[in-house]
Amino acid sequence: MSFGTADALAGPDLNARFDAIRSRAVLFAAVGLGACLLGALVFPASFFPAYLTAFLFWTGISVASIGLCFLHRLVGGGWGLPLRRPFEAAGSMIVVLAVLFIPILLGLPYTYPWADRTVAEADPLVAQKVKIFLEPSFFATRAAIYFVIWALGAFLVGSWSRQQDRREDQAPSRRLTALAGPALVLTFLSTSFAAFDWAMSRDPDWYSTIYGAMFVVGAILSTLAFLTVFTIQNAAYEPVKSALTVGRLNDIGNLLLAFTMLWAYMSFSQFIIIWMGNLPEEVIWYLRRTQGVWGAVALALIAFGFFAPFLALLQREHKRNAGWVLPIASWILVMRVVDLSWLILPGYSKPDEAGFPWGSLPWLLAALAGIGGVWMIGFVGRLRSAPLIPLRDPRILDALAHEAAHQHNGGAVL
Amino acid sequence: MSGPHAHGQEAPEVYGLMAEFDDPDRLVEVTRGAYERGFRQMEAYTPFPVEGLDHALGYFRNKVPRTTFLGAVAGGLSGFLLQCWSAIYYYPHDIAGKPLYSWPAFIPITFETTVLGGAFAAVFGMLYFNGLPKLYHPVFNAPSFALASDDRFFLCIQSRDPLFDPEETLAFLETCGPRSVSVVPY
Amino acid sequence: MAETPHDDGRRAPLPPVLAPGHTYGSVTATISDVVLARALDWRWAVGMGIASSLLMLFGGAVANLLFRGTGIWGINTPVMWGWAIINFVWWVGIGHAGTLISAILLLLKQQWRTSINRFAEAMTLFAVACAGMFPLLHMGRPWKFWWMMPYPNTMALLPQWRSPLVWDVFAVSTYATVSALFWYVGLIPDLATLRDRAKNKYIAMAYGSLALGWRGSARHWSRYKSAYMLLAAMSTPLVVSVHTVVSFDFAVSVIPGWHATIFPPYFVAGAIFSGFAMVVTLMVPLRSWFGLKDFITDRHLDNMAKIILATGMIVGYGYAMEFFIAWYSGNPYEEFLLLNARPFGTYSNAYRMMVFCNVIIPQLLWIPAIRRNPIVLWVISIFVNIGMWLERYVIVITSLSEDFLPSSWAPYSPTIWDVATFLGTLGLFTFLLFAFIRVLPSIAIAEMRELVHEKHHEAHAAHAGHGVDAAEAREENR
Repeated sequence: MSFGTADALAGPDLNARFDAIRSRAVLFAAVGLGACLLGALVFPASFFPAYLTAFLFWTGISVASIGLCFLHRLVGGGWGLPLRRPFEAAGSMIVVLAVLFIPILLGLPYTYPWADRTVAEADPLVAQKVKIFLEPSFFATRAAIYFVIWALGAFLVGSWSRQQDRREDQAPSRRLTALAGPALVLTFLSTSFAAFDWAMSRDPDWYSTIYGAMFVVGAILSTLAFLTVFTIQNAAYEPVKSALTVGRLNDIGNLLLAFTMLWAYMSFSQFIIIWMGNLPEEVIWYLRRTQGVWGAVALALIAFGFFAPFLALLQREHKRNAGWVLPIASWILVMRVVDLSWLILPGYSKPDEAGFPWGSLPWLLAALAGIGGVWMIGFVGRLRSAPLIPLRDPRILDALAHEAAHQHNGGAVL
Repeated sequence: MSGPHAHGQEAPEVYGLMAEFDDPDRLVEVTRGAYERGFRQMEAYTPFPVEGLDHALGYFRNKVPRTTFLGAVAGGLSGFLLQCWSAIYYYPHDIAGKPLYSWPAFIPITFETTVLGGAFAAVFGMLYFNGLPKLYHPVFNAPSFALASDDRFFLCIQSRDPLFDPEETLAFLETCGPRSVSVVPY
Repeated sequence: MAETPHDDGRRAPLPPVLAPGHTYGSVTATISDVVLARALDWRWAVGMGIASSLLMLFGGAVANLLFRGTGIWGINTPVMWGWAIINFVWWVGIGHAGTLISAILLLLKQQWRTSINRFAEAMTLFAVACAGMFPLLHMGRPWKFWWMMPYPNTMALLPQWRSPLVWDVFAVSTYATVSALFWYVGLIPDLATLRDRAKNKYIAMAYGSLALGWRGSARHWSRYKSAYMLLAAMSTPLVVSVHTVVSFDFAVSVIPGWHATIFPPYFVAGAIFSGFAMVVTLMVPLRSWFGLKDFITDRHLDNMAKIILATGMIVGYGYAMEFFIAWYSGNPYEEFLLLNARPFGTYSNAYRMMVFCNVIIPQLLWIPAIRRNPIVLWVISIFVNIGMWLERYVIVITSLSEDFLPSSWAPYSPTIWDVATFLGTLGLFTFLLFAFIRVLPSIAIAEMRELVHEKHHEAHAAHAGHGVDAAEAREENR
């Protein structure tokens, strides 16, 4: 199979679909951000943690997309054919997210307990951190550095990949290969520190060395699930139809399975080490997240975040059928939001006194819709402006050659 | 495997006819052809797994995956229940202030016994369904069958097939372009 | 487009995973002749001689230990886990590369694994055998090891399920069992090949009984393949779990420098790192001694070097996270150990050497020319082996020797018997490997035939012009 530039661009059907997604996204963005503005002004204490959760959900998708572009450059594989361009477009949305980070800086005392002076005065451990690492201007500077690294990565990977579409020689791909290794290291490191800064510091009295890696794995899982849902929903139209074969869907299903297991592995490792050690300064994090309604959420994460998708994805027939993969990936995505809320919202609460933050839930939905709407407008716009398949990428061509030789390609999934 | 006298109409001392090929893709084509002609009691022998050959011989249900899953579930359940039983009922003991039902601490061993059960089920299930070990088998009597573990590809149509006829089947196999066709005695 | 040459961003074209021109027959002959036909190689004999001498040293060291007790080692009261546990973790880690090559790379459909998986699996088994020696011997009364197993007994005792050491018993014994099964299942068709090729009747009978009457039936192959894939699918999380449990031995305690949540993934990466280094250390000389350069090409070395680089980066990430969180946490014990005792304290030489070997030296592997230079790569792999041994030394010794209260500190130094036991297991490992090479095919013959078949199809596909061009397919066409 091969694609010319003309067949790789979105056809009229797909363009109509993209238009529909866009207009829905505009609606979501307007209503969501409007509600967010209301929340920020009227109920800042319950709004800002919810906004942070939604922000981290979408940022995770963009950053992990950048990392996955680099990873695919290094390891190759047919699964990249339908997903590479969505990764690149999702990665480029980091610029939008940098703007959407500003509200967090404006609402810092509502978002992070350590930014509240009374908290730091009462807790010496927090006071010590606010002095250097969590000092607000240093915090903001680091955030700026992360965004610059990510935006640069997204820009280079996107523009070199598109240059390759128009050229016979391999110069842009060669540059990308040279960049991919170091860029992957830098993306992983910066995302880990962003996880410490933006998520772990919601509990400024607590620390965990695995947190960064656990956060990255969760973000990769969100990304794979989100873009799988998006791709399957467009799989009725060319060129996505030819790109998403049964064999590649199977690979994507395996990736979802692997990252579901990896996410559970990281989360369980952190849990058992802290549970067995049973040190008061560490178990407090779990006490905040296992009392009352949060305890039910924690059990739901085990049962529905791990076991349900894990068992569903064990069956080979399920992974080869878009009718199964679509609901499974959507379900994983829902559980990703639940997991992030579980990580973020109970931060620094007093386990026995604080109830479940019901007041944050509407703002969580509003922020997910608002940020997601803006994100989707940009994402679809970026995606449709170039061929939906990387045309002359050597990694993709290798994978196609391999598949042609083994005929484990199968037909289109829809 | 039925005994040599199970099918009265055939000479009992012949197990089947063995055709030898050089090329695995050719073997798959020939096998499909033989299946379309109506042969069912046949088997192909190759020095490495050839894709599609098992289904060219006719549909068969591979029970190994299900056996493995059941083995894994049995292993995991017995590992977890063993720990619960001994920690809660058989030898309850306060260790480091942990509850008797310390389920997080039981997970690692449960995982290990799950894999152990699954692995045993996979390997012994595979051997059981394949009827191995079986050190003697008539096909080893075929001349040059030693090359089935080297670089030759064989198709054996067994004498117990209702369509089997020493001359006609031989003639059919000769038309498939084999390297040779030979009679396999018991 | 099929004829457009490209080099995929690499400066030199990639060497193939299989030298061109091989057929099913030539693959079978070359590999099985190492076992059945090749004369005794003098280098093999010399290596076996050295290995056997070290094995005798091991026998002596163990006899002395059983006679006089663990007091002959350097362990003392705060440092109750001396070299024995360091060596245990080091050996288990080395074993993990074998499972990784045979299982994960199989699931990822990586063709280059085919020619090294058998050897790597053997390495796994022998490394686990060496690893198992240490906790057994460290018990002091190894003849009572079965007390760790759950069984109804007159003392009415059962293992303490909340102890990571009991998890370890299950993890390592499961790992050894499943690895042995995986290895044996892989060997069955090759044992049949040896049965059919052996000239000597008794040798043929020996291989024949081990081959269980394998006759290459298509339906058998079908079940065989699914069992093999399922074993691979289960071995992959198993190998992760084993080193995770090993890391729990340290991490679930509350000792500074041990109680870190990053330990599980960082230990797993470290295990793969050291294991691949060991594969390189062994492969580079063996492939030239036994004329296997057609099958274990420079492409294999390049790929393994990349994995060493990647896992080395993860290990470096683990060091960085420990370092950063020790400072960020505000925990005085963690801060003292990570930021003071390890880099500047009593054992700082080991720590600095570890960072040099594990983090700095592997950075050379960014350079493609180094990845493809067998001699330089071999030297780097030795550095990694040493660095990963030192990592376990740093973890075990520094944390135990200087923990919370200075009054309970005590320095640690090994004795000659620690060294003898360790060198002895090196002998055991080498002995088993050398014996294996002479009696069993060290490359999976059936899988190599499959690879020849795949290469044939790839060449065919490229020839027919499927609108694709693959570097490897073109190499086959030449």
